[in-house]
Amino acid sequence: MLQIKNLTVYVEDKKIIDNLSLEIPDGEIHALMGKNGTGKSTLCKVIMHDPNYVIKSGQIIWHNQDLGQMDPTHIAREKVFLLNQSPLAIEGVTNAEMLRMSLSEIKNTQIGIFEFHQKMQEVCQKLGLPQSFIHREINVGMSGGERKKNELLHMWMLEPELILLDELDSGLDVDAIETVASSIKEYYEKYKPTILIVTHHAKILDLLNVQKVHIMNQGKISQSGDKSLAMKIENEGFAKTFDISGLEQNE
Amino acid sequence: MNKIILDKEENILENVDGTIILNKLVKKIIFKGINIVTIAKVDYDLNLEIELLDNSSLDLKYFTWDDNTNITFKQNNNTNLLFRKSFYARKNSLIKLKNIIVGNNNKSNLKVRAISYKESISIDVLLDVLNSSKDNEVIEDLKGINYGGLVLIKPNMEINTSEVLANHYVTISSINKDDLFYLESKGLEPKISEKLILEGFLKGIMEVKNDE
Repeated sequence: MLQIKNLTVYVEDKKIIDNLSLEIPDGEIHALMGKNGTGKSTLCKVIMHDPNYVIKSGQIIWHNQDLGQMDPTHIAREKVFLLNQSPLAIEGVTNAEMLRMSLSEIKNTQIGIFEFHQKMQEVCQKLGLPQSFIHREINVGMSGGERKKNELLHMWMLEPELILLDELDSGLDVDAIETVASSIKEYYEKYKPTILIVTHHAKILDLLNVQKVHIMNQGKISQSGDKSLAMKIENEGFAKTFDISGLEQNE
Repeated sequence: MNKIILDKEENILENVDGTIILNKLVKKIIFKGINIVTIAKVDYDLNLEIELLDNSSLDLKYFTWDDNTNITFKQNNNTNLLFRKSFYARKNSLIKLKNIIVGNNNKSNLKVRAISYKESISIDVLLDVLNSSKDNEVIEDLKGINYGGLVLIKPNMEINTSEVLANHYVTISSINKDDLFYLESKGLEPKISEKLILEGFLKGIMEVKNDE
């Protein structure tokens, strides 16, 4: 289970996450929604212990360890995987180079080249990526959609048990959303990971069969519910759903 | 490769894989036709003139440690030059590149990637487009990483004609912390991540990209 207990996070002097608590039981898919700037992406990065953010208080418990006390390398080795909203491009470092090294480190053993390439080829095929992606530099010269698929290639190779999907669907066309969603669904059915997905759209929640939806507002979880909550937001917007438009007018 | 014209042909060795080994005595190389060249084993300060004859192209690349380089290019008409140099300096070094565009319809792309380890690197680049020339495209693409040392880049352009497309890109930075976080979040140790980023920075321009 992923347990976030009373988490407060700052960037410089600004409080981004304010005493937030959240639990995701093993093997469940939960969604995090909310207006822009409410701290959703920050939460994903903080779970991965991005050094740009400072945890002032609280705990993030996964596999009985506090991720807040661990570095990103060891968090990844606890089978946690972050798919960023805008995946970075790393010039001169290929997918194969990084993944083979990562797998060797994670599994603490040399990875056979034949077995590795065979799996890379299978995953590329699954994602509809050309085989050339195996030796492409990480996300260099790739479109937004290709970058997301390239990150899914990493996910399939590293076989994480906790997956943080930060706006997987942003910048993707309808067909691409279905492709990535079906890949995640297939992964979920095979490995039953725990997934936290940050999104603005109910469509991907439908495709992934999300069990619970949490709404984030001003650094806190303001409401939780089932998928119908996401549908309501999609149809009516945050302001109307939570009846905060009046408050905004009074201010 | 048989199209290389030298002042003294005995001073150049060509390997089967297309790399050339230069002798210190080589001071000038004239290229005609299409040439893809990797210079190997430069273990001395390179001081060279390179000329591209009309309708020629040259894709020249090499990696060095710690050298001082002084290369002057000359492009005539309808030529295409892609120069790529990656460089890791452990002592004070100076790279001087000059490209004189004398004719028309040439393309020039000078790319340098430099990492300074403890000491300083000075990179002086001058693109000189003469006033009688036209329809030329010139790019300076120069990047440095301060890795305990200091990179200084002077991207100069002397454009004496209005009929030219000229761009320059210069970046000097430390290792990007977001890049480090990205690789660490895939399970790599910080030291290994750092090494991959540095190697990737130097190797990156050695790959021919689609836009080139």
